[in-house]
Amino acid sequence: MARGTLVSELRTVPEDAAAVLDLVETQGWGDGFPVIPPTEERVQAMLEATPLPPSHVVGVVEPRRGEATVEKIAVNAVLAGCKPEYFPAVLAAVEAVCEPRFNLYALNTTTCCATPALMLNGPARQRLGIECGYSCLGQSGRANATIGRALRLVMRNVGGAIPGAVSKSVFGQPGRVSLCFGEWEERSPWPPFHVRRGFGPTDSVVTAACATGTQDIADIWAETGEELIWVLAHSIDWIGNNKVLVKQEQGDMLLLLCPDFAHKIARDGIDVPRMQRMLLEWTRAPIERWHRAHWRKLEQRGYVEGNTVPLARDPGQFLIAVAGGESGHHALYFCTFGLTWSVSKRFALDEAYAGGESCELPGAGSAR
Amino acid sequence: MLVTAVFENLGRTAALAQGYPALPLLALPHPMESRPEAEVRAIARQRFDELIGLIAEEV
Repeated sequence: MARGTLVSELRTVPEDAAAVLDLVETQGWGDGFPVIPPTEERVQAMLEATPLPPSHVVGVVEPRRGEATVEKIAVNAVLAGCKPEYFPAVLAAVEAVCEPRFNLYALNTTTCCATPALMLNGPARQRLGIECGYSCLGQSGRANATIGRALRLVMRNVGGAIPGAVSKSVFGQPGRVSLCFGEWEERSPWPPFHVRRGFGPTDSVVTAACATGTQDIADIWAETGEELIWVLAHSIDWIGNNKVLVKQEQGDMLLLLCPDFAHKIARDGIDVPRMQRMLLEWTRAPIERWHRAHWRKLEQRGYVEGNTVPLARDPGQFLIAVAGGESGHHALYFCTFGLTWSVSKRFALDEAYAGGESCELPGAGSAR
Repeated sequence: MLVTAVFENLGRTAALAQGYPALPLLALPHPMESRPEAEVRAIARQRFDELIGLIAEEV
């Protein structure tokens, strides 16, 4: 049954898959990869996954200020290759990045390579087949690949983030095609990320964080949790870190621990708040790391404290989650570009998505 | 609106999105932040009258 009348322009496209891709490329609608043609039938099937009408505006996508209606999001979800059951997660992801504190305008126009990193929590991970373990950030299946891709296509086709013309990202990055994974809650020694944010354990939640890339942190020598956190801290405090360029109290950054690392830290009695405090303290970089000519610029901006330059001002700016394979030895850091606060949105699969709920977070309204 | 040259397209897109397609826009050399202060001041002096003229325009 149709969920409503669609308003998108209908075009006749060739049946040949390669010709479809040529058309999409010519029109500038895609990311270079093959797409699924968004026929009316496929879009209507996507719309079945939500009680919201096609005309409902989920968010306004900067910088073009395009209205991300349920219909337009569905079109892009089909293009991306989503199954209809993924659609509530896609809607919640779009809603998350359109919140002012996520600051999508900056992310879609910056010279930096920042992109949303989507992390899913709760039972939807199993229902949708979201990979949380081995290679969860790439080559790990349809749900991870297409939910993240659908968001990126909305950012491009509705928000106008066209590389070069509007998006001034110097390099872009592979994550600008798709970056989506799940927290491996079942292998974490701590409460799941979304529960620490105030959601219920049986809630399904998508969190949009900011990632300028995937920074691997390897260690085989740390025997204690403290040693390991020392390695982590001094792997994310480099001076060319984009976070250094903005106010230290601004923005949060997500650090993924493999299950082995998380258990090594928890085994020594270190919980997440304590780890966050240790990271805050140990990511203060000595000012001598910067060229002497830059000291005055750092001081003018109020970035110097004693003889150090803190990376952040609040332990809560370090977001911790557990994911990745059980082979161990690696953490992964998503360096933020600094102007974004992560946003979490609850969504439901059974009762279908009817608008996301979010929790109170620090930094609301201060992303710009 | 002041932009540096590579952001001119973005400036026009943003102005259009906000409902001001004819918003006067002055594009300055890019990049700006890594230039010596004296050079930035010279650019400011050179483009000042042009900027004032644009501000006075009706949108």
